[in-house]
Amino acid sequence: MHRRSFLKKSALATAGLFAAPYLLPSGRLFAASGLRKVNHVVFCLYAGGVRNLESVHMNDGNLMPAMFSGGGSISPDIIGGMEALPSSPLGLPLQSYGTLFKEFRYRFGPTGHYNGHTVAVTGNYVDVDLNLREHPRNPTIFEYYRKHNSPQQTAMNCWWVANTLGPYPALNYSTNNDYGAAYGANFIAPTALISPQGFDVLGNPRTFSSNEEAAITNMRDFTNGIFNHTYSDGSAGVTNNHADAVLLQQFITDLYTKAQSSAFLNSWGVGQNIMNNDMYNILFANEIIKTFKPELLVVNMQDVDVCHFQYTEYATIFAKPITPWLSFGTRFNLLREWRTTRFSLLPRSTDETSIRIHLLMRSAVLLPITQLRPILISPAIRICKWLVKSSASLSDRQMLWCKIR
Amino acid sequence: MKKILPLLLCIAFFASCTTDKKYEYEVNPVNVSQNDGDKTTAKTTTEFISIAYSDLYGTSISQTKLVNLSVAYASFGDLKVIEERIVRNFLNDPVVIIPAQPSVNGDTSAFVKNCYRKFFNRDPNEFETYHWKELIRTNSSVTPATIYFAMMTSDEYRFY
Repeated sequence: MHRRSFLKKSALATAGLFAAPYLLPSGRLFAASGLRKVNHVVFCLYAGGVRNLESVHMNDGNLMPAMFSGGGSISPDIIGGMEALPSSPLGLPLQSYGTLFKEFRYRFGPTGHYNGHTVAVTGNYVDVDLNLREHPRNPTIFEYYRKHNSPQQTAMNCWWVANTLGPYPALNYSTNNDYGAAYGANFIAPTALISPQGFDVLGNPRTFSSNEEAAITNMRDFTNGIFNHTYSDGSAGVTNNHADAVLLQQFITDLYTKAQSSAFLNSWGVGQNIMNNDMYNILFANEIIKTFKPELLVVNMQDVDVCHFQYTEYATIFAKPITPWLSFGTRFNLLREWRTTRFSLLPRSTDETSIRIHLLMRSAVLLPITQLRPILISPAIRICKWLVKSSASLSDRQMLWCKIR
Repeated sequence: MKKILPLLLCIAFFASCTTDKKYEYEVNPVNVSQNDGDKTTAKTTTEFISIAYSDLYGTSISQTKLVNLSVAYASFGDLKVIEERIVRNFLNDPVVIIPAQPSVNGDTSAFVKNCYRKFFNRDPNEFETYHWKELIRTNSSVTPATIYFAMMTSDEYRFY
């Protein structure tokens, strides 16, 4: 063997040793990273007009005291116009419970809402070819999780909760040939589905007896057996098996029932005048967590996008409510969600880190993990291949930061 | 003979002048039905909602209802779940036209044929007709409502 050839093969073998723990021939990811540290991950996309200046830089004081530490009091010229909100359910700012990575940058590509969401859920930058009517080309976090988690999980363990429709329903799976709808997430836009209009068309379904349901299954199986096409993953979105579909039907029915209760709509006691679309989205996401205890749930918030309409007024006068920061409501939800899920909704674990919330916003990534190394080897990362997609170095993970106007 | 000859000529002349028969060609009524194997295209959201509504209500869906249903339809990722729910809601509307239970010995074949034409846009074959008749005859849970629901949530109903 020639020396050059020997060195080349040795280098490849060495590289293989490093790569092996992360991508095995069996398809399992990160097999060498050990046991899971967490069983449940909540990934929050905090989209809209979040800026460095008002968030981590705290130019007008700490506008998010429940989330960030320090920064001083809010500027007196704007605080008068801000709504009074309940205090945080946590004793300390959320930052104290995790690790805050500041100054994340969105390095490539257009910075639209959908682009940002796509980057966040796929871990890949998208260029100018992004089609709002198509699913992403690169696999999503949901598909990585469902395909590579061992044992493989159904879509009941994997949810994408969007605060609106438009292109966002398409983010629950990609068009990648190796992944796709068979590994996608259950998608729900609860504020669109659980609405008066939605109730009007879906809130009063006919029920059949158990014998009738059995007969229906029999008849449907007969017709499906003769027909030579199937309506399943892909053409029918992300499909669930019959038993799970029954649970989902009941879940929707329960949500319609709850949504008629003012007590439910004001679950956090903040008053319905305070509740915004983001807060309701989190409220319904909370119901998913309580009902199905999914291992991976991604939820977004975009109400801060109102900055496009009120920013000038805000920036000029400073006396108006800081509407770009509707986070005053949102942050409360998020923190309360974190607390309740950690301590009461998932009693099977007493580990305070049994739920991890990954929060992406314009200027920072907040991970409720206390040390860097556990981040890199944690099971949360095992199911989030994107987080260490190209390298374990922090700088490379900057690509995950998502600037959403 | 001279007297008879003209007479014979006249008779022959008139006898030879018969009118031509007029033939009119038409097309016999033929029922053209789609073979189930030809259905390869999934209905779009709007198509599914509109067709399902028309099949059950016997009229076109209103724009408001179509918009509300389209929004609800898009709000959930498992289309089978949401389509099933749409049909269940339709079937629970007292306005919807659901035929009476077919008599076991009488109009069962016609009922089955009508169902196939309404939902699958084709006639059932002999095997399908026999199977459905047996189901209706032997299972009291096989009612027009359950048959409608089963057919409208079957794979074939989602294609054209």
